Amino acid sequence: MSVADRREFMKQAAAGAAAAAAAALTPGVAFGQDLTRLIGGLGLEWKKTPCRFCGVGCGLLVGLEGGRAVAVRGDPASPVSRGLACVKGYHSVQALYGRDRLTRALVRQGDRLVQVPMERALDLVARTLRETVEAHGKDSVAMYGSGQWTIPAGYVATKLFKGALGTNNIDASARLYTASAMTGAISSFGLDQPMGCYEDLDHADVFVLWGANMAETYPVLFSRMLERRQRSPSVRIVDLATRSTRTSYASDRALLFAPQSDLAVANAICHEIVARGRVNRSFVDRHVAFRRGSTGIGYGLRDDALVSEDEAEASFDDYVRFLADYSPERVERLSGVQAADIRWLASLYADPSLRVVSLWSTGINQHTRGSWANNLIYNIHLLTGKIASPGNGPLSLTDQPSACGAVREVGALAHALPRGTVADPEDREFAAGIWGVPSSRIDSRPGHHALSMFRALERGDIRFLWVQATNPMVTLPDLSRYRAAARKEGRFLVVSDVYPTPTTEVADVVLPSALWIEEEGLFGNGERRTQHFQQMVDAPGEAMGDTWQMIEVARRLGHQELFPWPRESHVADIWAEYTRFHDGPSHRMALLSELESRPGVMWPYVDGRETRWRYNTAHDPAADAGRGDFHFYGNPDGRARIWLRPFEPAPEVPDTEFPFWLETGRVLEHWSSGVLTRRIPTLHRAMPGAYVEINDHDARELGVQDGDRVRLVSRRGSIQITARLDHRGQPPRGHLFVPFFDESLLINELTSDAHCPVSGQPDYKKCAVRVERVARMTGT
Amino acid sequence: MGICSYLVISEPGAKESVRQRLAAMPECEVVPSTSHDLLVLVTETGSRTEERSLRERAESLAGVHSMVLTFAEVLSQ
Amino acid sequence: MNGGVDRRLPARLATIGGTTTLMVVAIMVLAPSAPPGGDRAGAELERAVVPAASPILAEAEVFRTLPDQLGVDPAARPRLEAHPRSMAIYRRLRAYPGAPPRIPHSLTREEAMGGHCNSCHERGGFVERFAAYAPITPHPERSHCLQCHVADDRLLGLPYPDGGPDAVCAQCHVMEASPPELVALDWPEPRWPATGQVALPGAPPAIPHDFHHRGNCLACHGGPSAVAEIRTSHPERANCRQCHLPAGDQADAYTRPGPGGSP
Repeated sequence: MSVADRREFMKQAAAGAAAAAAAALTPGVAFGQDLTRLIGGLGLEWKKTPCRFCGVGCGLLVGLEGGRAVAVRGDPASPVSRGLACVKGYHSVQALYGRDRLTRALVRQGDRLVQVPMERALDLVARTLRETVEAHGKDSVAMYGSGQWTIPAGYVATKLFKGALGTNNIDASARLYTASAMTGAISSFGLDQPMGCYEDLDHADVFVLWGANMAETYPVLFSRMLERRQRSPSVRIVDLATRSTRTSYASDRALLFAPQSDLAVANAICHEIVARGRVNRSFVDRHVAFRRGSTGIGYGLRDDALVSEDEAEASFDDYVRFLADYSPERVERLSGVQAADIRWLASLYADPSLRVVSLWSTGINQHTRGSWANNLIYNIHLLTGKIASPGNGPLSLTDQPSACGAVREVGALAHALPRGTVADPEDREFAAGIWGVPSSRIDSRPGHHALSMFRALERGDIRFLWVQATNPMVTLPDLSRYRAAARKEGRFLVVSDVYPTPTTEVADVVLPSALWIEEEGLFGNGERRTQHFQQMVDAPGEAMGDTWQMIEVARRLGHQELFPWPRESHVADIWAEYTRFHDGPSHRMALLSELESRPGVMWPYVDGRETRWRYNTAHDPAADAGRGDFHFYGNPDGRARIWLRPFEPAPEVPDTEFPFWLETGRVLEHWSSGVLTRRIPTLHRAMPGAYVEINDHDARELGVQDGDRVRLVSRRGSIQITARLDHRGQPPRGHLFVPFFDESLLINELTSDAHCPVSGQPDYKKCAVRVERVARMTGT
Repeated sequence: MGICSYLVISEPGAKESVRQRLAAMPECEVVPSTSHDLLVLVTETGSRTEERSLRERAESLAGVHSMVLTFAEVLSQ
Repeated sequence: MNGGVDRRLPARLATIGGTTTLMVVAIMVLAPSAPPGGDRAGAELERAVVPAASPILAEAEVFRTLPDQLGVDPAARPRLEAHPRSMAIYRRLRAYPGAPPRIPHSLTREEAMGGHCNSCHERGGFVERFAAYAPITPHPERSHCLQCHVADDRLLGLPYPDGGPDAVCAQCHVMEASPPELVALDWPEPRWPATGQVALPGAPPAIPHDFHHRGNCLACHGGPSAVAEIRTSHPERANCRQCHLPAGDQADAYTRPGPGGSP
């Protein structure tokens, strides 16, 4: 490094340190482009954006030169990531430049997809949509979107399908990754979205990770947790998991539990808290109501409609009687977690001198009782009163960059509206008022959720399906079934994406999309933070933003009055309209001008103040201080719910024919189905393909060595894959792990479409498989 | 040679005049906050003594409420 | 800071130069559940440094170096440059990339019999005898050091210097320069892996080596004994492989499989 380089580097570091100090001292402080330029250096132009990958929402600075994105830095002013990124974020801009980017529209002619001008493809989409509605009714068309949508895209999709076409057949792949977090929050608190925020990680004394391999899947938040422990060595990280991972190694304690037994472990922790008289009675008496719900609700294998649960009042005494089944000794037999450890965990949760944060993601949410599992973690925090205050609280982590912003907040889901639900006449009236449509236009019946949408496609109830920004032909469970559904005669599939994928391969029309910073947009991350990014580079060829594609089609259908915005300002205009839905103290959002100048703003944003702890009357402008320290205003009685949710077994468990549990998930290098990250050379070379992790004792019994090919077989399908022993993680005996990023090794051919019947979220973490040895290759 | 950075907290309403006075010093690069009475100051000086004297001059400017050192690095040539 | 250290002590904070806070390392007890021991409700949890069972070899070492190993002894600070470790020296001690390094210092008779290396090299720290910071081994569980690391016979048995660091230099460096090779060897300069491989400006450099016996990043890249060119500027970032990935030159660029997904 030359002296001049070093000097430049030091100046960047100096400016970055000042920006980080400013952000810590004065949350929400904004500096303009000049500081960004100083921090970025290298003689480049720099602009801020949230990262395109997971839902953490790290702040990135993108370096621009000659109309191209050429460099990335962590944004030191970002309150989320404070100048850090993970390896995906640091290389993210390379995903814009894969040589096989889709730049022209494609239309199916027989077995082939042929290039057509974008205008003609949009005409064809609009015409087919109209003809399908005419021939088969409004509910024969559907939109399957994504938590990778921008907020404007999610909003326009919702308005187009619910407000213009009058069908609630709109859902998003966020259903696959985060739906249980949503239904869990709503059943416990009456409202979606977390009460706490990432700042909790700076205050907590104990972190309990419920099945989240954060070292690989949420690395920046994981680092923030490690930093917290550096400053205070008494801080403890407890990894509750079904296999050993990098996260386990960095934790103070790793406890392995049997799949599905998390439900029992959570109840056993509460059993212990109650048995030892460590319930926070004053909190519970003032802020909690007990509820009993339906049980034996099935696994959604035959029924498409989601279960709307009964809710019966219960008392604290009922709860104590309910917990009697969950003594630590009894749960030890079920879960494999020793009673002593359950007691120890309970003691951490109950100790009034310790602040405790629980963290989880798809381990809890992709669960046939996912909604319940969320309730059960909330129960622990409610029973101890450790919630919605600095360093105390449950915090659900989100997989997709805007699953919260563009789907959960916008209501781009089969049952929802931007505010409230389609079933509620007042919510329909309110939405119709803002949209300028008769309220009778909005159907009161929920549409098809993700899996049910593809089942309807299989039956022929849905004939036209538009998929945007997601790759269901890799990510859906029981994949061969749903691939066959998509390929059936008489189905018209439109796919908007940026690269060819297994999903574009089965499409009738492929629309090339703009990617991330090729258009202006907004994401909403996992802590209620809205983050804006400008268009920084041009989209290639005829590629067009997802939002504008929908507006073009809506206009062709004669709905220009609902989508009147000029292209130059449509993002600002949509933001102005959308935020009218949330214009109240419980969800008010920042003006676009503030979002443009700051690395993200958390809602409720009232009188220039972000709300870090909802329901806490000292912080939340919507909480009534007359209720004391907390007010859970999402429920009519102002109380949060402790639910009596029992352990119920998984629908498919290992047996003699299929003796292994199969778990799927992510690895550090790749995000979701790998469409973007596999095109980034650094990431691809470090993790070129999927593999199966096998416990070494199991491998020895099977006669399998590291690197051998094996065949994995479930009741639904099979693949051949390389076995890895002592690799990234180590499953316990009888368990296997396979990452799902690899479209050449479609592990979802094996997974089951059993799902949480409350949330509709499939369980990708548990199905039964067997391992067969494949003849060892020689000469390799 | 040394590079330092400071957060400069200005008196209410004095941010722009502080910016101008700091920008007039050749060792200084200054970026004001667009939202608060705060400025980021990056300095480059030839020695520790120079840095100290620069800091004293900056701190005594009218309108400067206080300054916090956020980064310091001495480079060997 | 050497010798006789109870590896089960809780890891503590350390500071470098009084400013940088370093990571706390903790390795979990890797077992299906707690070791038996009755009701430990409310009890302090011990942090075990060595996993009790079934380590993931590829991952076990990452978080192993203790932060106090990276501390600089303030008393030794003025002599920090007495034995600077540079990339040139690092390479001279290795026959090829990945080769076990030669031992560049004299051994006592006892040391030459195969013991005691870890008293300096397990935890590092300033060693008066050589006026240098001892490099930390990334694999302290291997105790038979001389199996792989070749001691130089010419230095065997040299007495402890008592004239201070200068006396040591005079003794050793003269000898280092003297002996001719027995037979000339046709051994070209090895292709050392490139350091600082970045995919785009400002990106974190890739890891150009494998992890066999070298999985503990901070042992070689952290603290005062690290080779200057590859010393990390941010040892407090404990999760190194969040940002730095293996260079992985064995894989071709990604190409999609043919239509239909599974091959």
